[in-house]
Amino acid sequence: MSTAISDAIKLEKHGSVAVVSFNRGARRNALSLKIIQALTKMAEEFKDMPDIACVVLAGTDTEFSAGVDLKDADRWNVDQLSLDELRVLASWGPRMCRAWEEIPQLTIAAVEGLNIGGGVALTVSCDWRVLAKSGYFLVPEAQIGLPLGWQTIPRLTTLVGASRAKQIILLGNKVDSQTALDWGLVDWVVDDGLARQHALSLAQQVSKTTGVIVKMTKQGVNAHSHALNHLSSYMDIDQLLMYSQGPEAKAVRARFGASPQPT
Amino acid sequence: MNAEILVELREDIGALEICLNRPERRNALSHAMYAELASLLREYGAGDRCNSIILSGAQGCFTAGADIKDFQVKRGPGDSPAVTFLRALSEVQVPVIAAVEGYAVGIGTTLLQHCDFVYATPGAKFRLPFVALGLCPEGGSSLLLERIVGYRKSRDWLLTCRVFEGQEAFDAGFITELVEPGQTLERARDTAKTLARLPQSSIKLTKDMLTAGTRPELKAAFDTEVQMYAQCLASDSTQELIRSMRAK
Repeated sequence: MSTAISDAIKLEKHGSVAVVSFNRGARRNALSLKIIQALTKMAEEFKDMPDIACVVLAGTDTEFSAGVDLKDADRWNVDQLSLDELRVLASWGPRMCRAWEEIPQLTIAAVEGLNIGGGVALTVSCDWRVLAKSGYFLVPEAQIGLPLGWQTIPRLTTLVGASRAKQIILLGNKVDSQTALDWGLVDWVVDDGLARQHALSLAQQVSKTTGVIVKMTKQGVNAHSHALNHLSSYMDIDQLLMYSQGPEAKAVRARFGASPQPT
Repeated sequence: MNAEILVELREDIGALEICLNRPERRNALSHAMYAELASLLREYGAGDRCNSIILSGAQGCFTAGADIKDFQVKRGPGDSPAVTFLRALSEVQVPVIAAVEGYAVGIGTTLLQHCDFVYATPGAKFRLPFVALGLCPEGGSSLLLERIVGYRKSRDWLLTCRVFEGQEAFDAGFITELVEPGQTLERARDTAKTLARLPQSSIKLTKDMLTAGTRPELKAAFDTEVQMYAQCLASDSTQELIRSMRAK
């Protein structure tokens, strides 16, 4: 019987604003390896779209993403792989985040409903975040026994400061929309169902200036504020790999049904 | 382009262009794509931001239809993602224009019944393969096809499941106009431009009046088809048929 999980990415262009939405068709919009790869390639394509000034990133109409799909066979059937192959496989998450961070256009994440783990990593790689009122951010990795990777730590710390970054990562509590706004984790909170629309109107407002100004400004701000991000986190892929070889991580994978299964 | 659905709001011609972009699968429609298409049609269908909607497929193909493996998934009661999409399409208030090149199979043919204009190439290939799959018509076909192409053709196409081409579809009144290969999208845009120059309230009113008479029957047809389709799909013989087709 087929699992028949089908992914779809939609690219909309409204003048100089592009809207990318991804829909897993199931599993609370969790990120499969396939959709991570597709989102990475999609992000890279924006480098060749000079007519676009802003990019809005959205999940489905009701949820952003439940994070990495712990049941994704493509991602977790890893017992036969060499360390080099494992490193390539593990690189896709950070590559996706980096690709989104390096989009030349201003990027705005529009978040409805839940945004968990890898979804948070992706949205903090965007320039701005709009969150629906009943939506929330949650970083459960540490609480379920996994380190937070994808070079998310410096990005998160830049947004919320050192203490709150540690609170978000180590306490593993849901960050509701009001707290997220107070902490600077998100930039706007809007009524449910309106995140995408609000992100779109912000993008349209930004696009009143020329695309070049938008891109130069983003580049300038990021060059300054992200100067040390890569330097301080390039190795987190190896930390993750080292950790994932240990018995603690294996126990976690077994608990979530993600241990390699015969297919 | 790495997105299965490409959408562009073309303010110059007042149209929302939707392109099915999954060329490695001949633009076959997945559940997630139906959901995205339905939400787009609901968002733009009222005409607040566009005067028409153009549907096309990437790389010389409209759509190969549903992913056959979707027929092997257990379904809940009620509308399938495909039917949700078709209902949303049938409720669009602005004119919908389809540009058909290559294949328009299964739901690719079904959806054209809800389009106001269809431009296709003489060699475009249409097919309603539901009977061959052990299924039945959906999306209003049991009502609309006969209205559009008549008693004889509707039975021929639905019961024999044979492929028919653009010329035959045109002769039967199923499509608006035959267009040279590679030109259907431009032809659709020309119509969008023409429509954009006309009074929009009258266009919407006229479309509404043209469909109002059929609406109650169409809803009933959709509902019956949903039930019958689900029964067919749940039967062992249909599942066996689909398994053997996938194995080929």
